[in-house]
Amino acid sequence: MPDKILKINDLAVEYKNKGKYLRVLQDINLELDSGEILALVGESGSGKSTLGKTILRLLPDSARIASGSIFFKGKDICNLSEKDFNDQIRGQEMAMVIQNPQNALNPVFKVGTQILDVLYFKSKKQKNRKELKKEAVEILKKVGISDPEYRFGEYPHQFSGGMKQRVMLAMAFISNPSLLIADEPTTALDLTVEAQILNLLSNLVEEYKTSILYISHDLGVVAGLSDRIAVMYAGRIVEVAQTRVLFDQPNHPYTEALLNCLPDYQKTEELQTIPGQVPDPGNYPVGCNFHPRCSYSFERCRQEDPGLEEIDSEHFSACFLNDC
Amino acid sequence: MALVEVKNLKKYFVNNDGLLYKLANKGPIRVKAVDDVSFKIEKEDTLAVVGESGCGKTTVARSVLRLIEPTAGEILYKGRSINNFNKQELKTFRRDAQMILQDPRSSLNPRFIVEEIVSEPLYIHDQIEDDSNLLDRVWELLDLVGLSKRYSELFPHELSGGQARRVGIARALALQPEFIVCDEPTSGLDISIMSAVLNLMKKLQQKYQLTYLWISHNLHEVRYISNKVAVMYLGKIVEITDTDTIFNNSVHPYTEALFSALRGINDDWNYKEHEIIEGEVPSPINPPSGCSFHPRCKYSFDKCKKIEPELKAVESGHLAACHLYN
Repeated sequence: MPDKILKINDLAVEYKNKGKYLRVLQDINLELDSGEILALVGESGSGKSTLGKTILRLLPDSARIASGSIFFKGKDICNLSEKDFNDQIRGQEMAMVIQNPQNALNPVFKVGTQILDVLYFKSKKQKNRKELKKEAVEILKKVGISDPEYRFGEYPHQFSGGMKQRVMLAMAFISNPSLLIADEPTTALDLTVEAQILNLLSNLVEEYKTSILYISHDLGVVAGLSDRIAVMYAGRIVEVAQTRVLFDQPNHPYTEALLNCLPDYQKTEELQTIPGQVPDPGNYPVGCNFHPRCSYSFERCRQEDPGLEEIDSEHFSACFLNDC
Repeated sequence: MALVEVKNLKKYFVNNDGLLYKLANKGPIRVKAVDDVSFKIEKEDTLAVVGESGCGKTTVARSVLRLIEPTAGEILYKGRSINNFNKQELKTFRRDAQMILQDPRSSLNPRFIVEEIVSEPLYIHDQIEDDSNLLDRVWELLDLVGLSKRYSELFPHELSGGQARRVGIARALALQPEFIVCDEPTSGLDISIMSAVLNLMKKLQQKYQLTYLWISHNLHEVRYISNKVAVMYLGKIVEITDTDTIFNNSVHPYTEALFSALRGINDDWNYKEHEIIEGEVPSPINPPSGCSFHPRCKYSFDKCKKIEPELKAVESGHLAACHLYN
């Protein structure tokens, strides 16, 4: 059994709103093996980005971890001081690539300078920037930027969206992290460019043996990228399975409904829809969060909360139908 | 007779403003957003226009409704040129042809409640004889798009993205149009809401015999909603044919590249081993010579660099612009 890079136990996260705490994540249990790509999928407001930010401790001051723990390489990182977290984990062992590369690069510094900064801090301020330039150009070349010598001296606005995302990936992989959190890194990109970036990401993962938590709402993308998928709904993980198993034998009614309403070029029958809407945080129904929209719901769903249970080897689902 | 016919549409955006440009004396920058595009849309058809960002999809959509004036070319609506419409004819055209905009929120007036948003077109086109049953008419329209009566009193900021989109659709339907231009009507929506909007648009098309010009970059959606597809690259149509043909027997190398990036959830494959087209769309300010796709095309040969291919019939009803086929 390979080592677990990340282990999350019974995590709950709350946001403060008008003096009250609203629970946005509840009963999150998740494990990530080394070198594994785990996709976290769900609709907007399901809490997938919040989970990513919680792991990297990027939550705003209004949020708090209400209960649970996060183990990274066997160490509880919830209790680390901010300084230790910054020195040891963030940007060193864990990195993040965000949705909009435009917001992640500083517009007034040259792209090369920003890569040099990362290299400079990685060398613990031992090497000077001139020595590092060659290394930086090498990195640009590696992520597939043509004419890297010239591009090194350009500003972010002179880069296209796809190239900026390549630079972000390059910067994330400089410190050779054990875990990369990718929050919808290809949402703003065109289809062909998206495929290029995901191809690059797959190759980098293989080379660096990095684990990835890939946050996405696009099931088509994660089908070709991830080893396992965790489906989130209204602040909970409702199903975790191997990628192919999830698509071929979905267990949870939400996963099933989601797959049925996904337009797919191989599908010609009428699309199904899920009646109702995703509940707002703080306004979750009693019992199973999905029961008001679920076509199979029965009495027990309205009263009790189903926990995530193993229904098959490595296939977890939170649904009372499995108990029947 | 086709409902909409576009003949050799060209739209160049010229930028020669600004003191620095004048001082540098470089001459105007010309962006060929749409360069010689022709197509027809028959009644009750859905023509989907697909392509990557910057290929001119939205410019085509806006030109077809005369929201921007074309540089050259002609757009015929029911056989008559919309660029020669007088004020009265244009108003009739504005009633018959509607648009659903890309951003559901910014296209709704934040100071209006839903009732005012949906009924505004009725006021503009003098379709209200009696104010007393106006609210009934609004409720009817909201019901059509699956919103209950209480939504008529809400402001746009109180609506979710999917609801805002439905209000946009209700507004477009208020005047019982024949032709609707849909500019990425499902972008930014969650999967479950997207499927609801797609089903709704399909149902409305059957009910009111609507004709759609559907701009999209989601090919799965295009497969579901359209029966004709035009693929655009750098301001030109490179291939246009039936949806079935484009998904199964496309001929243009760009179509092939674009559709090879398309994967369904039932395909067994991964990004690691997948062959992917290299490069990105070049700038329309300085497009490549000859065929604008040749720098990225794996089949390109000498002729492609020099001569621009014309859009020609490969077989009946299937046009492609590629030297490999003519």
